[in-house]
Amino acid sequence: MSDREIDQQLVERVQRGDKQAFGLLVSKYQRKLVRLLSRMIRDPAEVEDVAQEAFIKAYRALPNFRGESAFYTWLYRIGVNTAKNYLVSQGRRAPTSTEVEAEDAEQYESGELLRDNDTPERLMQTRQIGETVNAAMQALPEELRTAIVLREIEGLSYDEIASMMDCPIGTVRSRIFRAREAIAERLRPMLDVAPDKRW
Amino acid sequence: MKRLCWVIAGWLLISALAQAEDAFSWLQKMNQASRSLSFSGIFVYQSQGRTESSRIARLIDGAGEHERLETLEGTPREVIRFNEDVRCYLPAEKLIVLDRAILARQPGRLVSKAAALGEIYDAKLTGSGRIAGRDARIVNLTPRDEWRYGHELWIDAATGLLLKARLLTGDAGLVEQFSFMEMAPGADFDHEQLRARSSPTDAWRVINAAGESVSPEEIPWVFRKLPAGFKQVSLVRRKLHADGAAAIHAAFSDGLANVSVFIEPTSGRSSQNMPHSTGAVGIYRRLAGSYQVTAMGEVPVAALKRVAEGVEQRRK
Amino acid sequence: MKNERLSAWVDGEADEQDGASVMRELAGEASVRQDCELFWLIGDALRSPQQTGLGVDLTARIMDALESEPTVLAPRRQVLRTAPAGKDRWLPAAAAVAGVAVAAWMSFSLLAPARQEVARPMAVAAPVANDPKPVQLVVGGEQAYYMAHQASTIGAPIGGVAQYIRTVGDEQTGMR
Repeated sequence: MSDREIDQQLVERVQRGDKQAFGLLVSKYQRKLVRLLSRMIRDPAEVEDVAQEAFIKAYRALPNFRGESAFYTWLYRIGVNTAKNYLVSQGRRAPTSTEVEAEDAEQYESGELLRDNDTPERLMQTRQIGETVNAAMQALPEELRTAIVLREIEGLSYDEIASMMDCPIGTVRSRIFRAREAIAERLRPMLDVAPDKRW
Repeated sequence: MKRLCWVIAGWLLISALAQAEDAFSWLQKMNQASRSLSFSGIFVYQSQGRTESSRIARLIDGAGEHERLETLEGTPREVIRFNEDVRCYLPAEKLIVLDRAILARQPGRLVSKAAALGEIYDAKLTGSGRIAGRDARIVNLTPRDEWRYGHELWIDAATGLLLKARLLTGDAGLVEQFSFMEMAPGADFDHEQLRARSSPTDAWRVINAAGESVSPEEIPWVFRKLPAGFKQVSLVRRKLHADGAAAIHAAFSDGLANVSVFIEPTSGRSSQNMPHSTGAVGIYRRLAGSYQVTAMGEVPVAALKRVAEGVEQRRK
Repeated sequence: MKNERLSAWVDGEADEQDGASVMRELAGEASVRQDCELFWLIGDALRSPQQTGLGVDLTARIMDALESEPTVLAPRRQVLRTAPAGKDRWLPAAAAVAGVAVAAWMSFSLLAPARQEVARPMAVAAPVANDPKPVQLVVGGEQAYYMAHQASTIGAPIGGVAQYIRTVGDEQTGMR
């Protein structure tokens, strides 16, 4: 099952009335969307509001989503339009279409990254997560670190990683999982979810 | 009068030492920057009338070093590196070459001891300049013997990143030059920019060129005529021809210049003694009994000849 | 193991059966959902060098807001199931065509003529499906040496991939 198929399955579940599945799509794409919006809107609180609005619009529009494009590409367009409408409603100039849309949403959301425009508590959380992940990565045994980097950063498939690391595919699967578990172990206490934040 | 001469001589000596010290402190700064700073930019490579521009991005994070090189002329060719793992995407050949570089995670990529480098190169801070819109300090390294080329390095005054590197012959002829047109220090880009853009199809082939390490005792060869300062940095066994036996590949470095020696059974292949060079990389080949010895590197051909001729079979 | 299956699913690498189990678990267990979120967060953290926005967590807030929304219901339709866009692109042709799950690792030599290409399949012996063209390597067949040398240039002031331009440059690969 490819990444796109996973999203499609989650979308289908939402289309069959499963709200929770939408929560998973939010968890998966919220950071990516927030980063995109941060390039159009400076204020971090506004960015979060617009992101929320975009997700809600997406939820409402989901019955019409036919899976012709990837879910994120579709969400990306909703996000950009929501941000533009927001800026116009605030009497601010929306970026011209070429500034934002020239990028292929699926290719890479690169270009200028936002700097220090998280809200203070978010900034703190962000920094802690970043540092924890970095520290955990450094503590990983070499073969686990290489495996997860090839997967998450270089975007290679398990097959490709097995070739590069010269090991069976099952080993790749287990190394990536062990790397994730080791990092997750350190993150869990920080992110201990408050009961009122559970969904 | 005599005393004055001594004073002047002493002052000259001190200022020469100070100059060298300055040069080395810039080299150290460059070395440090090359191991710790992320950047992106565009550079032009020139060698023997050939000019080519490439885009490069390097990102250093908790996992290590990530790099991507993309040629900007002709069909884009890419080289992607994560620490030691290198992948070259060659669309014309429909080929992906995998290799393991030995350059990453080596303490002191440039040279571990300035003093050792000082014995083989005369280092001087020769001035300042401006390139890619940035202020640079220029360090010249002149070899103290004929076995290597000289270097002119333009080091970014603000960050220590290398902005221009010229490889020079004894009479200041240019062997090759790397020169940045644009340089943006810092990781102002995303990981996705370090991914391969090539879209290989099934018709592409993947070649794993990486060798396996061997210890010096395992091979029956010794290297007797290495020029001063060259140390062995790796020894691997790798296959260079489909139909041939694996070759021994020994790599040597003096801290700046690099020489590779390949030793393989001739297995009927013709072998040429003709020295030649392509751009900065020279090649010299000779026969040693039923073996072919190939020396290759960014050094004068005379040095390659010397290294190749110094390869001997260890006496039992 | 449950979480290893989840981890493979997150990567789009679970088979149909495992995928179905993961979907069931995600629907039924909050702890599995949390692990899944955590795995996604780790991926984002690794991919985002400047780490901006990592602290954002809008899920609870959005789910609250959706409380008042009518539940989405769409008629079931045939959805497009496209092939993975790019992931399996450079599986060796043989493995892809023969439907071999494990990529047979071909150890080619740079100078291999066409017929001798399948040198040492490591995991599964797979027949060569295509008839790949012989690799045209230039610089008089010296490229294998150049590549190997380039990988070992530890000292050069211009370190890292930049020096590969000597090997993959226009003239070397015959691009002009």
